[in-house]
Amino acid sequence: MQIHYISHLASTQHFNLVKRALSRRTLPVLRQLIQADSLQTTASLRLSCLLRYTSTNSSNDEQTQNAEKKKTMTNLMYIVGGLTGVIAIYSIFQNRNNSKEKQPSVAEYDSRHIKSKDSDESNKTPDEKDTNMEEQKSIVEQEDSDSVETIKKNDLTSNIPNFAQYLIIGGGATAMSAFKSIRAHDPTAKVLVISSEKYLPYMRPPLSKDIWYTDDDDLIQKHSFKQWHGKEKSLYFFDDEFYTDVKTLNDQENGGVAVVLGRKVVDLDLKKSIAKLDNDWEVSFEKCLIATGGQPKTLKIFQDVSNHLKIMLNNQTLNSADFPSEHSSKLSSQKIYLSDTKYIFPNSLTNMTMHNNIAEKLDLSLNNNSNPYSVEYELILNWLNVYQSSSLFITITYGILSIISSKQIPNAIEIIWDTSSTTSLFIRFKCTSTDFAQKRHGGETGIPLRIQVDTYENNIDSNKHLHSCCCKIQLFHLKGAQRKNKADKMRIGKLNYDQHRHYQTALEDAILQSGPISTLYTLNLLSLSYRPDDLFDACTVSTIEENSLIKKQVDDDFEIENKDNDCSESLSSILSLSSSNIKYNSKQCQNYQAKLETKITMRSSSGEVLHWLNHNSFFSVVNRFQYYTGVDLLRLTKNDIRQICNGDDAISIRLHKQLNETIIQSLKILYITLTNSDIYSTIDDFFTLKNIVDSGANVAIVGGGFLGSELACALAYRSKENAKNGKPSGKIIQLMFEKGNISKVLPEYLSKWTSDRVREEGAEVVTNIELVDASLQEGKISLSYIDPKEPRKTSYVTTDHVIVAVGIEPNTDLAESAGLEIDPDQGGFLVNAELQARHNIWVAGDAASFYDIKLGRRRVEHYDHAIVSGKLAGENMTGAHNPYWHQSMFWSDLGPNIGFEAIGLTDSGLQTVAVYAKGKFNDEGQKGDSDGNREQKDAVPISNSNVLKEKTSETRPTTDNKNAYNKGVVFYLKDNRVVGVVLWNIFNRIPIARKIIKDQQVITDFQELAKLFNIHQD
Amino acid sequence: MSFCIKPENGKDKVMFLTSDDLSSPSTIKLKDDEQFDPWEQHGLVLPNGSINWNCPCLGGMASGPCGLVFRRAFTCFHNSDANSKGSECFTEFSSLTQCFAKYPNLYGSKNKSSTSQPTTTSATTAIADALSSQT
Repeated sequence: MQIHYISHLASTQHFNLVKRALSRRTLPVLRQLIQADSLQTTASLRLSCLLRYTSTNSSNDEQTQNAEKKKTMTNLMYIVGGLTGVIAIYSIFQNRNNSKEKQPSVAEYDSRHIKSKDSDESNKTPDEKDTNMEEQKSIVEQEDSDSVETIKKNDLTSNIPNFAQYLIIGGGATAMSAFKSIRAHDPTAKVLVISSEKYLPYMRPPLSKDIWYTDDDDLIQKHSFKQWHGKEKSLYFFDDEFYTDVKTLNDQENGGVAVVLGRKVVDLDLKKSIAKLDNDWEVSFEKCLIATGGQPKTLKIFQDVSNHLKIMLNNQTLNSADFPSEHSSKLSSQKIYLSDTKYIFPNSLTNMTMHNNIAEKLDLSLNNNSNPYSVEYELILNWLNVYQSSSLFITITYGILSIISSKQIPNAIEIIWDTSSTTSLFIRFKCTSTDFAQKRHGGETGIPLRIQVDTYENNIDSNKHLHSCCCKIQLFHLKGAQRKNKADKMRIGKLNYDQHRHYQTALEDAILQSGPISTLYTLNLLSLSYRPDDLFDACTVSTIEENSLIKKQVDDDFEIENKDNDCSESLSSILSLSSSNIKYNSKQCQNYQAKLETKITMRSSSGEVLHWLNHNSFFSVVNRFQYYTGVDLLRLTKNDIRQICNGDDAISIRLHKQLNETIIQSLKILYITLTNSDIYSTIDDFFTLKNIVDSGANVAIVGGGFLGSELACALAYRSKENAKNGKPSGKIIQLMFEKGNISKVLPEYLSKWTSDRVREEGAEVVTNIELVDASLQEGKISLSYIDPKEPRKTSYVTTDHVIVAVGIEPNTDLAESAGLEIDPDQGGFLVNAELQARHNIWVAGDAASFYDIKLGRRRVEHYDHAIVSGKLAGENMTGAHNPYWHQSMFWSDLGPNIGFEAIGLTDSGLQTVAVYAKGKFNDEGQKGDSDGNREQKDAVPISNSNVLKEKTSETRPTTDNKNAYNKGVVFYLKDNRVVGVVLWNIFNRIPIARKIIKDQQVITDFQELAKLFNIHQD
Repeated sequence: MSFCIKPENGKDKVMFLTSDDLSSPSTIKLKDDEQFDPWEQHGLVLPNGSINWNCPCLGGMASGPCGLVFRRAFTCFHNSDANSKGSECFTEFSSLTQCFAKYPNLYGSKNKSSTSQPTTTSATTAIADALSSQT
């Protein structure tokens, strides 16, 4: 098949060639964009896409199709017309050297950009204008015309000083507290903050608390919220004017604080005291504070899927009315379009800024979804008018930077776009068949279109393959497809639930599944980056290595063939390939082999199988497959696996899926929408989530910690408010592995009681579960889990979005280059009691594992800790030598009825003694602390909570009153000394608690201790 | 009336106490603090009489762009023993006011935002605010 042929074409060429070729070929517009963009995002990821397809009428079509039919069971009766193709995306090399010549083939597609450029008004593409204007402003002032084109990277970064008296890595609360403290102790200090955020330092706690209870949307749009006392407050710590311009920082007589946004420190050289930024700019420093905070964790089952690049493909939106001429002529061509192309990159490879962009994109696409493709319609109609030609391949699109087609290879097209903006790609294929009936019924068959996207990250001197994914797309005659879908739906609807799960009706979106890198798709497509005109030459380069290689491919293809009948022709096509003399670079082969190892092959030994099982988290069944080799495993049918797994559906289905992970699988694919790529902590994420909740979507929250619980309450509240106002409202469900909410802090009984209160807030809470799988069903995510109450059965919950809030892990990427020690137990940079890691290097906030001279080594992930430790670090950086002494506190609000403050070591594993107030609830206090960050208790919730309490005291007899943990204080003990205190629904008593922890007296009578807290009063 | 329960695992004890149970003064005596603990956080004026520029009560005042000018003015005011406190600090105060004027958004008074022009905080109000908020 042609596909294979193409893939092999895409193999080689020396890297330099690639560089050269790209530099010649890249459009000026693109270069501009890259340059402009390198100002703001550190992961300057650019993609370009190489799309090639061939439309051939293969004689094997019918065979292929029949095989397909067997395999996918639902959809394939009508597949007849088709085409074949491979789209591959690779990152274009970011070469900024010269070459302003434009490829003529590009002009047509790029006219829009060129026009705007000629009119001398654009140094940016429209897409870019949408994003991150403010950052650019702060970094580059010279936005005048064509400057960007001439600016070299060095010119841009020269805005960042190359020396910093005080360097702070990270731009969160810790950094803010530190620079404030530094400036307070050293009045003329010059502080340079390198933040990967795109906003100036801001507060995160309100994002899961107060802002959800703020009813004024205008206020929220201004990034402000209402405090508990009703006053509005900005999320930002300081106004822009507080900060000094980065460029002039070192010229300021009185010093100042300057923040570099959207940049990340990637390397720390302590020998020379130099920090290297992700754009290679080096800043030498006198003293440095590392305040990198943490990165949200994700779960294995989501990780697998969240790396996927998702391309939504909609081939149903076009109805016949729009294209009368096409339809009356019996549709000799089919149109599909790819829209809302979205990317998710593994967090480890991109930075926050990138993520923010992604979140914004989601925002856009949500809007699009509610107003389906109106823009696209117009574009298509336009296109139809303009290009009524017979050309084989035409696109209509927006957000695409350039499209380059090759003269030498028919139908080879490379598409380049900017990942930081929403991109829509319309591709029209002309089908080779004229009818969509099966051949034996007089029609023609077609070859299904296959799309593969390879994503590369490009640095200055290397290109790293991030991942590949692909899917198969089948095209239907519109009427046929509709009829087919309808029939399918009806058929599936008749099945019972269990059978139901085995099927999936046609998706509105085609999802690219990240595939194992197989021969077909492994090619380092970068090597195809010649000038299009050179492609032909590349194919004629010959080499000696090929024989062994081809053989290997044959083996691998054979293995694929087992699962993918589409590949049944691969053998022959590859053999025919050998004459086309493709040069392979041996290094690529090794890489490719390394990737293959993550897959079970026919020749896998039992050890490899075990490793693979463990690697893919099939821990529970590993021992059942102890002696299986690769062949044995692959031979198993779905039912066999099910039996071996003791009838455990969830595991066996997943195992079967993963074993038979075919590259071409458009049905039943795991998929998670962008939101649950889950870095909920930035401003943009808040807006994304707010839109989701307001749209009435169902949301599942995974994780029972602070963030998860607070969000569950906040989202339930918001949803309830929406329902009251007649707006759409969705269902909120919280799933957790723990036995109750915030069980890491609260003792078990209190944690369970709290879960009941969260339920009263309107969120469904399911505790103690084991999450086993996530899958996509009819556009919704279905999470399957084991409920301990019914251990033999797998339970399911279906939802629109998933938020994963399972904690963070500290960002310690810098440790390696800097040679800093990491705490093996708790993570984080290991620092002493003065928060110092090395001479002139301090660490504070979430990323620091410090020694608390009262309570021992700790790492704390709370806002107040960020403030306290940042302040301490700032003091010590300016010459003080103070240890961590002042205990930080933290607080949490779960809806209007539960709020608590805590201080010290509050680990639910410790022994606890709690004293709760009994009887006489005569007051309900205003919550509020000195920081003014508390949530408001306005009139309505108070009366609610009073009602609630009356109810509980009425309905429960005195002896049963034990469940009313409404108000009280919990002491956490180590050796009969109080090491931590939780103030449950009582407020403003932190100083007393702090004093008790500081005193470290042996306490035996807790009634006496409780008296100090006066728990009956507010 | 009070009672004690021990939820299942015995590790966590729970007491329910009425306000009567807790009404008498506690027998637990907290240790006296040191006179001046340099490790602790302090208010605006340290026990030794010097100014704590890192006091949260100052907000970003001492760290911001007018930090140095503010320090001069406030130090002058703080150390003043003239009859009307701060009367000899006129130059410092006026330079502080000038500095404030350069950053209307940062130092503008937010309460009067209804007026079209944001009014700049005067030096005296800033210092008065700082003093009043130290408690």
